Amino acid sequence: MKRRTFVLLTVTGAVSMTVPFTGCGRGNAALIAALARPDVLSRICDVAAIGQIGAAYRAQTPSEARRDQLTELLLANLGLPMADKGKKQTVGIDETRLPKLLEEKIRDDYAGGRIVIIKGWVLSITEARQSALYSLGLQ
Amino acid sequence: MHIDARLLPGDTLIEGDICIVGTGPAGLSIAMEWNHTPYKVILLEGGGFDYDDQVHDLYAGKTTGQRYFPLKSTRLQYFGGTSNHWAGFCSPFDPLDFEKRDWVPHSGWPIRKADLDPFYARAQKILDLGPYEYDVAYWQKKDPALRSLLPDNPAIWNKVWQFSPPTRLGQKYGADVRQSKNIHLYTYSHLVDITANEQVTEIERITVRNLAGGQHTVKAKRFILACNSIQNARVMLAANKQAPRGLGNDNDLVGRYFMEHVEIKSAWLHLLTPDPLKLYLLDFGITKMRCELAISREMQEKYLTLSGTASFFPSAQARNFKPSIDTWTDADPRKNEDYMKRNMAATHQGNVRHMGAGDTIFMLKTRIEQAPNPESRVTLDTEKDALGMPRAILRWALTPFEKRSIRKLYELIGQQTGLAGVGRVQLMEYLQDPSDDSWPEFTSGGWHHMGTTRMSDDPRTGVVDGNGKVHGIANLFVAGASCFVTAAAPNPTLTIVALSLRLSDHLKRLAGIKG
Repeated sequence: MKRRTFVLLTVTGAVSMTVPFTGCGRGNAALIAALARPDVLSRICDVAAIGQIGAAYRAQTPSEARRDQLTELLLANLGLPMADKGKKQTVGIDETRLPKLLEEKIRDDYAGGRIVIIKGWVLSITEARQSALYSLGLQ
Repeated sequence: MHIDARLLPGDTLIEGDICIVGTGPAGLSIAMEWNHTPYKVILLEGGGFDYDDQVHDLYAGKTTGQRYFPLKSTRLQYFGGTSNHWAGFCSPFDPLDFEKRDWVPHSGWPIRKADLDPFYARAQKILDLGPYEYDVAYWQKKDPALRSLLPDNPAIWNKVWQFSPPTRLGQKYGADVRQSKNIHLYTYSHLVDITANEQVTEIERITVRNLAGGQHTVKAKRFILACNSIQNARVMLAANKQAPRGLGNDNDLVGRYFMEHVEIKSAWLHLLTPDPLKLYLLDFGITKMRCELAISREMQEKYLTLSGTASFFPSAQARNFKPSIDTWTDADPRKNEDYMKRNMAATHQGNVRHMGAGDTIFMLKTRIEQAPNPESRVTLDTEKDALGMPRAILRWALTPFEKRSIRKLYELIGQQTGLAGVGRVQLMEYLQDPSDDSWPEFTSGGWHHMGTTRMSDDPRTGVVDGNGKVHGIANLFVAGASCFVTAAAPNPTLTIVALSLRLSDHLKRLAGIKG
């Protein structure tokens, strides 16, 4: 039987979302780590370059500069909105499905013209946000 | 037959049915169409059969505006003209290139692509190209290894180029011209003046000179200026003793709308897996065809851009890439050519290695049309050359339109690359700030001079009509890229020859010759 791992993200407002990247609980850290990994870019660029892209995106888009903002946007755009915003927030996802969902979302972004140019890179909005989330982990 | 005009007695009168000034791709293509006809063709060449630096000094001139190559080095003045050093890149213009585009001021030819198609097919043979087939599927059927990186899609398509050996037209047709009974080639016959009738409605004669001191007169029923875009404008502007603004220049159009292709490195393509990209790479002298990625008609309309393409250079070659504006710096074209050949040889091995193994990083280089711009122009200097002709001044003037179009081209290529899941594209630094309209120092042209005697059925907007006849002058025609209304993305030679063949057929009809 295939093992299914559900990651339960439990946060309270922005407080839990802004805990250090590596300091999250197991489920939370695993989810954010998965979200913060732009797969194609990571096969092309080194981590420093991804961090620079992410930092540049946050500077260019101040409304998406925080970890909670980026996480919420990424999840919402994956069709995984967090429930009970402002109170206990939970999102359920099969961890193994996340990379596939992101890949499909990125392709969907390119098809729909939801692209941004960051440091010259022509990126899908999703992978730009992923890079931005990654860059926060570097801080 | 061939006559060296330096050996003629002074003030010789030369007479014929048609006088063609210039022996480059335009002039020689027309002349050969008239071989073995009962018509006497006077074919004038300013130089001889080889490079002569003193003759070439007649082409020297100033450049202002956008940084440009030394004018003396960009055109060759000996039998065969600039075909003596062209690189052989050929592709037809697209239908949209001929149409009036509301977002491209001064666009719109008086002819359509379909009007030129039969002549493109004939031009293929003159330039020793393959069949008139520019659909990538045709070539992929012949060689399945020619795989598309991106399938044709609504934004970007694979535009085919074919490569001439490159044909040196002087070598190809030299013996035929010498042996011809009705083509009379006069070398060292540099056009210096044009004389019209009193009403300036018909050309009566032209004057040619050479550096040996000879001066001769040529009379013909029809005259065709087939020099080059700078020289065609220069001789028309300088012929101002009867028409103070110059011949055919009542509407101040001669010399204006000078166009070049902007050729510039622009982006990096990063692939996820190594790919030889055989469909896109060029090995000079070996490759018969390749593709460049082109922006579609729909995207040009949607984003209001110019027409442009991207070509690929593997990383090994890109490392040695030097912009032509930084290497083609000598006034003597032979020195520039030597440098280019050495540079190509140095990068050749890396390229060949790449062709087998594949690569993951490629430099993308743009060739994009320049928007027709009346302020981009050729004018006359007060300084004169050794034959007494005012020298040319070229002001190459680019606008933000070209740069914005380049940026959009790579946004679209980046988008399609991402959509196809094959990699990502990174624009070079000079394209990253959309508010930056400046051009980097390495911005180059393609040695493609176009547009100074543009074509229009309306004399208020064009110097020549749809056949190449100068408005208001019954027997003066212009051939070559100076008649282009827009520059399109392709290198101009194939279209120059096609347009010249079309003019030749028109003249044959006027002469009563059935095709």
